[in-house]
Amino acid sequence: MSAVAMRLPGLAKRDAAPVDPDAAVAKAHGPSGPAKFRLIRYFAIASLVAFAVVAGVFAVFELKQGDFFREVQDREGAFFSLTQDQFVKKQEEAALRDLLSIHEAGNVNLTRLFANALWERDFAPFVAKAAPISVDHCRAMEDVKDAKGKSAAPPEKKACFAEVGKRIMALPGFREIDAKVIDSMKKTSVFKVKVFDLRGITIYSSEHAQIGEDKLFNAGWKKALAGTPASELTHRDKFSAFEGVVENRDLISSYLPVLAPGSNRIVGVFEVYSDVTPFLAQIRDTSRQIKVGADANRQKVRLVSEENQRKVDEAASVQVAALLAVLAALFGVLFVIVRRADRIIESQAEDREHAHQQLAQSEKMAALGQMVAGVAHQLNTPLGFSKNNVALAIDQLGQFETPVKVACKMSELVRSTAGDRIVLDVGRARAQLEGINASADDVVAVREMLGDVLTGIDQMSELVVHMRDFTRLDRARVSEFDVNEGLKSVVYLARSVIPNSVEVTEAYGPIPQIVCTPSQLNQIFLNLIINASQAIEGDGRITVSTREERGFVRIDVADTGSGIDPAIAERIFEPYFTTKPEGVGTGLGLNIARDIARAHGGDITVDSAPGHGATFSVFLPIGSAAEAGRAA
Amino acid sequence: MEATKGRVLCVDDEPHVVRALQWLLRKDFEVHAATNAADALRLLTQFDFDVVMSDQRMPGITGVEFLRDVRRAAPRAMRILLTGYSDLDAMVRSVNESEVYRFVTKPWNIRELPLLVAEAVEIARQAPAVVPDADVAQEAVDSLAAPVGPGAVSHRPTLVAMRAGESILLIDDDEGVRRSMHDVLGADVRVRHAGNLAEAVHALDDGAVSVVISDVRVGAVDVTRLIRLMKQKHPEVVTVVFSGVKDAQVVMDLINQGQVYRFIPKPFKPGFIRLIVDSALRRHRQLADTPEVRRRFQVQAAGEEAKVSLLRDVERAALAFAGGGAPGAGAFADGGTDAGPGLLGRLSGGFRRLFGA
Ligand SMILES: Nc1ncnc2c1ncn2[C@@H]1O[C@H](COP(=O)(O)OP(=O)(O)OP(=O)(O)O)[C@@H](O)[C@H]1O
Ligand SMILES: [Mg+2]
Repeated sequence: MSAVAMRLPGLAKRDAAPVDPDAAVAKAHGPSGPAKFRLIRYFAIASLVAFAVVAGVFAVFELKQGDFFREVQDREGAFFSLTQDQFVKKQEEAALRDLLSIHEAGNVNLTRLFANALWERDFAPFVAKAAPISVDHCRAMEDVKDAKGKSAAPPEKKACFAEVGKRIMALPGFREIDAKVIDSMKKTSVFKVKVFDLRGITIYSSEHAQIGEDKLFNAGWKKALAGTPASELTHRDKFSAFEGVVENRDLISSYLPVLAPGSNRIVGVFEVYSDVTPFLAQIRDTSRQIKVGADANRQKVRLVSEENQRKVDEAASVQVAALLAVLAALFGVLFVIVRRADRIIESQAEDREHAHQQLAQSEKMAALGQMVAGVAHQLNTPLGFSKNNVALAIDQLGQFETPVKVACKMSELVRSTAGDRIVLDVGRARAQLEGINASADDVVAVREMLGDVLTGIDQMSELVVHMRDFTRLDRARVSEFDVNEGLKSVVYLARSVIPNSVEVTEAYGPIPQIVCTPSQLNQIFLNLIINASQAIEGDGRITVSTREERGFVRIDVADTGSGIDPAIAERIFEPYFTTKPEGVGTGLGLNIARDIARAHGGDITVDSAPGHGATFSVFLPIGSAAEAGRAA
Repeated sequence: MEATKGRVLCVDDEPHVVRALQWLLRKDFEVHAATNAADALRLLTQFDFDVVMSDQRMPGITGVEFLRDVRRAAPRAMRILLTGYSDLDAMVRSVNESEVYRFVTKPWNIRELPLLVAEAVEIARQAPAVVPDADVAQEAVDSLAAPVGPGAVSHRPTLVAMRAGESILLIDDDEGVRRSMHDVLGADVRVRHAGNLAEAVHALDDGAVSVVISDVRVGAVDVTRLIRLMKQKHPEVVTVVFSGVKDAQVVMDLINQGQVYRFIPKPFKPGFIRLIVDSALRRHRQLADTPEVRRRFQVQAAGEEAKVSLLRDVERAALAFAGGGAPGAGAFADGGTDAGPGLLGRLSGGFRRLFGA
């Protein structure tokens, strides 16, 4: 079916609808009515989107929570390893400190022993012997700055002090002291022993090369000179000990003040190197073990945190899954409810639609009923005089019986008589003809009576033809239709229900036939004409006119009635809108009329000035409806 | 044979109808015809008609309006309305405004119509004309349209004083109507009230009723039979009927068989009722004082079955009343508890007296 669009000022552009018969009325309230609200679809889309958003937000939260948990765990782990590390370090430091102080204490004792054993007899005289050896000339030598900017003794200075050493070693008693020292230190953990005099000059060293060295600026020496032992842990790759050169050793060197026996007077400084390599190794081993333990702990903590993380992640996904399941279940339940509601709403809409159609039907029947009553009464006039005349004519014919008999007898007599004379017994005949009082005028009258009866019958058949044309029950529903003819029938019939104080004027212009459903158009016309007559109080006029206008047939029904208040003009086409008392108007007339017009691809417009009547115009397309009609 | 034939005017916009009527009536009457009201009114000035018969639906003027004019222009002429339409509004107006003698529907009966016309001619010639008491009637009609307000009350004419023996019978089962009627008419107007058929018969039998004001129905029972039958025997009683029921046949029967004086559609305005009662009383006096006039309001006999069914309903109402021991039953049973047979006997006596059964 070709949808031909058409335009007309004041008319909405619309597709040419099929002029389908059954349901011009149903149509307008059905699919082509206000767009249907697809509840299920909208619900499904809206709720799925909403649920997806909820699920998404929840999932993101869960994810964030997992991340947060991981962060917390990581931080905890980091803190844990830091404390462990610190612990290990502290432990090692403490062990070393302990080691140092233990050895220092040991060295102090050793020094005491040493001093007690050797100082008075051996070292004190020896130091006294070395005292005259001047070192000032060596000390007077300028220090130089090395590459790192640190001032150090130049080689000449060192050589000068070495020279001093040689002079000390050359002193008498050196060999005995040396032998005694080595002898007493043998088999101990002491690797080296040095003795400084109060000037800071190395008077003795078990490593002979170091004798003569200046310790004036040595921090340990200074401390010891001030009365406090100073110890230091050092590592030496090579070290010349009593029993030869040893490798890779951890040593503690302690500067120790030598007190004159029985007094607190410092008379010299000892430096003792003792070997702590095995202790240190032990400490390191312990540290390592602690570290290993700590690492193991850390590992365990990491595993636990990983496990926790996994559990948290797992719980999160379980929660997300549960939420999804709940949402899905909720959606399912809601969907079922909504679908049921939709069905109910739909069936209610159907019921309403049905009721509306029934009302529309009954409105139509009411209009028809009114018209049938009007027509029945209109029939009474021709029926009245026709019946009257026929009865009178029959009476009259009775009066003609005798005269006709006489005339017949006479003509028979005349025909059967050979001669040219007939004998009439006047006396007898007078008596027989006494009853004749019919005149020739009566025959004329009878003819006129019967002539009127014929007119009456014509009137009645005209009425019947108009009724048939109006209902068109015996015609195809969709057909070529001369709107003017339809209007004539409708006006003819409507006159019977319009008060005779209302004049109906017809002014039909030349218009083409259109394909349509004539009985429905007739219904429009009847509704408009009846509305017009109802709008007229007392005298008035209804003018029905037609003309062709821009591809449309235009039918105007104008009245001189009350007109339409602009306040309600918008609403008159609404179903059930009426200003008439109950029983007079259902308010469906115009609604149905517009539905029908639109189903034909046309429309109805109204123009009214209150107090000056109203004009309703029906537009019906000439071309498109014809095509649509043929296709339908 | 009379000196002159009855002179009849037939008015119908359909020429075939007047021709047919002429053919039907010309043998016995002098028939004049017009196809529009203007021609007809001109003929009225030229001839003294005994009967004017008019169609209801004519272009420009309705039969009712035309006959109202005839009533003024030729009060002696009897008016008959001929119509193919059972238009209730037209019928009510034909009662109130035109006071038609008969309402004839199309198609008419060709045996009865000449008889009816002959009867009307005879009445027109013998009974004196009733000059319409135009002002009252017109005022009554006008007040139908006028708003009810102080203005309407102020110019209300004083009621004609009731003479001894005169009374008004109100037949209605609605207490509200009864009270408002009392308020409107005032204390000096004797109003009897009947809430059912039995009471109505009793009241009618009991005393001189001048005017009957009645609803079409009390309860579910049709009162118009009573009105029609009573009018047959007592043409001097003037009846005013009001009703909320819209039934053309009821109104037609009330015209033809009841010669109802006024028919008032409900709801009505109190001031209007006053005017109606006033003019009804005047009409009653006319009829009471000049019995010959009564013929003008002669009714077409109601069928025998109407009488039978009415009697049955009256008896039923009486029994229900007495049996129920309703307070109003005292109106019938003078203090006696066993009122049944005595009451019925008295009622059927009254019924016979009233309706000649
Ligand atoms: N020609 C007119 N002049 C003035 N008002 C009109 C006219 N036609 C319609 N109307 C207004 O439009 C309203 C709706 O008209 P519509 O034909 O739809 O219903 P109705 O005539 O009241 O009842 P129904 O036609 O069902 O008997 C009317 O009640 C009336 O107020
Ligand atoms: Mg309408």
